Amino acid sequence: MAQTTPSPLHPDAEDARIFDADVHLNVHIDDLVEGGYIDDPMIEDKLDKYGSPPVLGGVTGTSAKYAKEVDERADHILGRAITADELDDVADELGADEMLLTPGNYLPMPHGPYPAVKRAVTEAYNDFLMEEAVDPDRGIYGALLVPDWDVDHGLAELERYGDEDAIISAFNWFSGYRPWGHESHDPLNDKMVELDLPLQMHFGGLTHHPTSLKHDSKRTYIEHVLLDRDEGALAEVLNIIFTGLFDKYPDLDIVINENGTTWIPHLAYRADNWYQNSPEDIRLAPRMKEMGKEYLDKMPSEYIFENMWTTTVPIALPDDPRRAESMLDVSRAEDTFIFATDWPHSAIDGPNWMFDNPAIGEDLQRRIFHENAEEVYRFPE
Amino acid sequence: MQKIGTIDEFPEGRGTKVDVDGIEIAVFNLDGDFYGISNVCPHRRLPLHRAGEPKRLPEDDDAEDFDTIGEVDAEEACIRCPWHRLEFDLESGVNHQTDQRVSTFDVEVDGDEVYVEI
Repeated sequence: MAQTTPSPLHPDAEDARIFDADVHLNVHIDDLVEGGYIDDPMIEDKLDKYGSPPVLGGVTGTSAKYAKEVDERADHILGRAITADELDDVADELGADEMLLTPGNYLPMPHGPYPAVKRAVTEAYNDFLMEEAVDPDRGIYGALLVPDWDVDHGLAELERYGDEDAIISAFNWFSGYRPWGHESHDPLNDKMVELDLPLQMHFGGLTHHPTSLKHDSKRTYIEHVLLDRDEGALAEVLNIIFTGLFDKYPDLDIVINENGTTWIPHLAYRADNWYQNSPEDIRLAPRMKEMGKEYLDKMPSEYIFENMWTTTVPIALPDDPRRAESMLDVSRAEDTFIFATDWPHSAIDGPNWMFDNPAIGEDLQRRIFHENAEEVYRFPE
Repeated sequence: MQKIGTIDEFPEGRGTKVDVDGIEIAVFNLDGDFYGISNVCPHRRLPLHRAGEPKRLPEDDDAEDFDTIGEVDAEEACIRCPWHRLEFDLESGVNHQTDQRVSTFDVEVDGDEVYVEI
């Protein structure tokens, strides 16, 4: 009958070693301006008056804050933490021993105007990340924002911070400026491989083009949040594989973040099927043509299972444990899943679904909670 | 009825987690009326008792309107889950959006002591 300490955690979470691959560092423009992270007075004035650059004048009807009562800034549903001390408290709350910080409020940037402003904000974010937030001694690591809309600038950011112990991944968005398989990104891929950094791709960018019929015909946030994310992520995965990215960079690892896990069986086996249906198409992709390769070195699903990973948020397993076990098996969860919470956003998953779950044994639990992450991210020795 | 504590251990307008014979219950004190509801939200198996807790925010953050996670509505005797905001009636345990029902437990106060019926 003893009253227990309020906690969101399953009792076993304390003993489990948990790496959380998606904790958002919700630094606001105000934090960057007031903290002196914007050097250019003209850009500082613009940001101070107008905030982040917009995307195509704004897209309506596709935000969690229009679907349910949440904070005006929908990235606040559970709060906000921006310094290492605050993030350390969040880690305790989530039961996380280690965490990866990902950007939280820069979603319009791949497609927004004002390149000089975007450049300044990118640099300011990465400076803030390094100076205020990361702390490898406390297991707080960062994903370095690497702009794909300006490859030279992306390289410069990798040069500035890419070899720091606190940085264990590069970061960009799916549905970014161009699909990641585009050959113009190869200087970034060269650099990431040289630095042994994986690329973490998070939901964001222009996943819902406002002028498309498909977008206009949607009626609900659920259609957007479910299908547009899928479309964005799956388009990236297919583009990456069929442009020969992993044939040129077999050591590159890519993590698809915040699109759940069910895309893996959906895509892997269909991609194999269509590749066997139309393999002659591949040689025309610019990178394949440049390499003089006619076919992929492996079947498409092998790249998914060997070079690609998915974070678990938002997890959506069947309630029936037997079917959940089948889903985990067919998704090769032991090789592909990396635990993530998405704190503090509205899709949050705590670690509790991993406990008392007949479909998840101790070995699989360890793989998902930390062992897969150790294979992918560049943790310090 | 089993004793779960004294009144001062259950702050008004907030939820408190208690464990009774392995059953986790969120006990809400709404202006002196006590309600007990299973502490496991059926959506994501996350705890309901934290509804109404202050949000974790940086010291100088200004969050005037949405300064708690979830909500506690004393007038309607309902809560919103702190994690994804599903609403539950504290009398019936029903979530009207999905017609799901979570278990509720009678909570009684005798003097300073608080009891729950399992």
